[in-house]
Amino acid sequence: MIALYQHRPSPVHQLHPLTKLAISFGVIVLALGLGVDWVPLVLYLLVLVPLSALARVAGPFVRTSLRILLPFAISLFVIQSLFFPEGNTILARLGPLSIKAEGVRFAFAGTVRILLMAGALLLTLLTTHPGLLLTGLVQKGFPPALAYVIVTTLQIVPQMRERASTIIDAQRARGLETQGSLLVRARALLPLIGPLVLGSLLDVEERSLALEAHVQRHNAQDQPLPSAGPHLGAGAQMVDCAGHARGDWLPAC
Amino acid sequence: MIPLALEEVSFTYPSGVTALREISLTVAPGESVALIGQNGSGKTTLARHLNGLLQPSSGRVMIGDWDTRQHTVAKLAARVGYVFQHPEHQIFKRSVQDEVAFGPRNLGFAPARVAQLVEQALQATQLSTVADQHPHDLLPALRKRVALASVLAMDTPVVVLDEPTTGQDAQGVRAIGEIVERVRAGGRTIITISHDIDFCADHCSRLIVLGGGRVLLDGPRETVFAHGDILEQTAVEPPQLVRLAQRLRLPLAWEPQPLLAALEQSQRQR
Amino acid sequence: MRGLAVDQNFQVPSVTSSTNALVALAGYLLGAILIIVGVARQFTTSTYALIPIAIAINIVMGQLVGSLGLPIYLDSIGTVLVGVLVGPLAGAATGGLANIIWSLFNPVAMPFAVVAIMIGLLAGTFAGLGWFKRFYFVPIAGLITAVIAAIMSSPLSAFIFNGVTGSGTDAFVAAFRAAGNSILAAATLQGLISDPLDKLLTFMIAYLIIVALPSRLRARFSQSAAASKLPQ
Repeated sequence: MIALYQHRPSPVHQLHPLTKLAISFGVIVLALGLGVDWVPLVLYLLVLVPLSALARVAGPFVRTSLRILLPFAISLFVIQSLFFPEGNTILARLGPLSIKAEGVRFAFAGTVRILLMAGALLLTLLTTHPGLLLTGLVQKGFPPALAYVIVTTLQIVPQMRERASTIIDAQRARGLETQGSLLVRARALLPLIGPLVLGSLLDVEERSLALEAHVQRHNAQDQPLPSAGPHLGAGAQMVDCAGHARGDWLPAC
Repeated sequence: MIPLALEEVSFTYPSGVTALREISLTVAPGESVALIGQNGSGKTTLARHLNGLLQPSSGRVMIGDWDTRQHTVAKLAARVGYVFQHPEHQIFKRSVQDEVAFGPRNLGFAPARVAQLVEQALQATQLSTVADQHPHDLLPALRKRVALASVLAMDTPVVVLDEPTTGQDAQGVRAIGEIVERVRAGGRTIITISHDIDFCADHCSRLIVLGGGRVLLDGPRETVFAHGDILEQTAVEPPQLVRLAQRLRLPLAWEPQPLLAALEQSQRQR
Repeated sequence: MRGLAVDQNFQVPSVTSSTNALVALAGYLLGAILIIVGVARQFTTSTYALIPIAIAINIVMGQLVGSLGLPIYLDSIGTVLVGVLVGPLAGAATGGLANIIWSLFNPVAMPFAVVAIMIGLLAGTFAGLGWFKRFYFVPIAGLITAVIAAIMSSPLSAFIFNGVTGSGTDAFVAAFRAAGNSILAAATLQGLISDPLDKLLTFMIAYLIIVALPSRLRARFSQSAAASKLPQ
């Protein structure tokens, strides 16, 4: 599983991961620090979108940022333009409700701020392999053990999704109803969660033994990145699993 | 007891891979059938059609008078029990007997009947002595039998076994074999999916060889084992004794006694 | 801003400004990173082996519950389990790292890392107090955690996301705004309504799982301080 990463030959991909991270947070600080409502939108359109085009990820960049933005934008515009007790400039009336200019402006400010924050971070995530990002962080003092945790998690999530869908099948085959009233579906929780958690915890046993051996081996060889280093190879293999990262992993049930 | 029928069943996964191509076959009540074939041959896909976990893209699957498309998996579970390969995928209770009781309770049986079915299943799988233990504290071989017992207790006319012998040592395989024979003797239909051709030869009277989503061979053991050429294509090796008999140019046999008899007879003829 | 007929002297009345957003973002994010890096030095290898699985449980559980169409998340069960089984600091690290990983898929989740950290920390603390020994304390621990989580996340919702969460619970925000509450108050009240059921169930399911642990897993966690205070 490689999260949102898109592999492309581009100068943006070549940048050091921490440079990109610094650009992302720099853009966010600039946009929010100026305190002007429309600045985030301008930065998104004139800085982030061109950079994403340079990185050849403009399509996924715009799609993903809009997908993240949409639920917030709907909530903001519906709630804050209709219910804004602090405002008094009425733009239009809808029966008992009224749209207030201050509310619309407030919703706009929030929407473009979320768009910019999501976009700035997406630019880094779309153009940086998680393994490289972690290597960069570890070189700057991020604990290698935590990098190990993050890489390992990305590796096991697809396996665990597979496990979850098999468990659903296995328990339905034992007569467990997963459709019907709220009560019926709530009763299905424990028979599904139980095997998932118990089975995974039992895997810890093996994993921790493997980890101990791994750490000892690398301490012996005096490697600077005992945990993250060798897993970058595994990180590249994770590309194969990218298809499983999102979407319809559970059968319709 | 009920028959099973697949009528021109084809199945294509959402990914676009076609796993079954117009398969038609029937299984009579009480038969013991093995589905064999290499990975990707379609045997697991076919088995998952029997209890509605998968629905055919075209054609239909009849479990007795039920069309699988018209019943939920939970309902079909009353007719077809399916033992999954890994017991870890289903165990969540604190004791073996609670685990085994989960299926029959789901099917809505009365408490007395549940208790009786659980006891019978534990006896059949020789787990009565560990009924109060935590299933995960048992050895893997026994845990596999817990999964088996938890499906047998559902008292279904049809039982599907997915790779029943993986992770078992020779003794474990023998124990599973004895359980299968006991279930057969009770008149229930058994469908076994397995790579373990020796196990299938011992406990299944009919073998169905799948390859590329089609039925390549379907018949009694002796007929199927005689087609070494087709078996070779599917990377299914006939049982050791069958191969030995073929090398010695003796009549086919998959059990020691008939092979020895054939060997003696051929010696005498010489 | 020409399309909008807005009085040029208009000031958004004391609810928020983007500078507040910056302060909230910087404070919460820096805090989270310092906590995660700070607590990470002292764990044993078996804890490091456990944490990825707990985080994967969080992620997959959120989706499993979604597939059942239940109106809850249950996406912190792994965090609570680590907190209870290993201790508050391990729980905190699990929550924080889970949030970082989730941010790789949805970056707007990132500011909430501190809330996830707090959930793990509280679960471990309640277990340390012996609250996981008896079933009837567990829902209370869940409720207290929910209240604290709601109060912690509301400034983020209010200042960074202008009061909304982008989910169905925003209907509560609408209702409280219609009743004349401030953005911060509406965001807080929304959290106080929607979090308790989720955290209550999360804690109770974690308890039931711990009760169902086989003895070979219990043996593994028996070295930790919290384990002596677990249900038998």
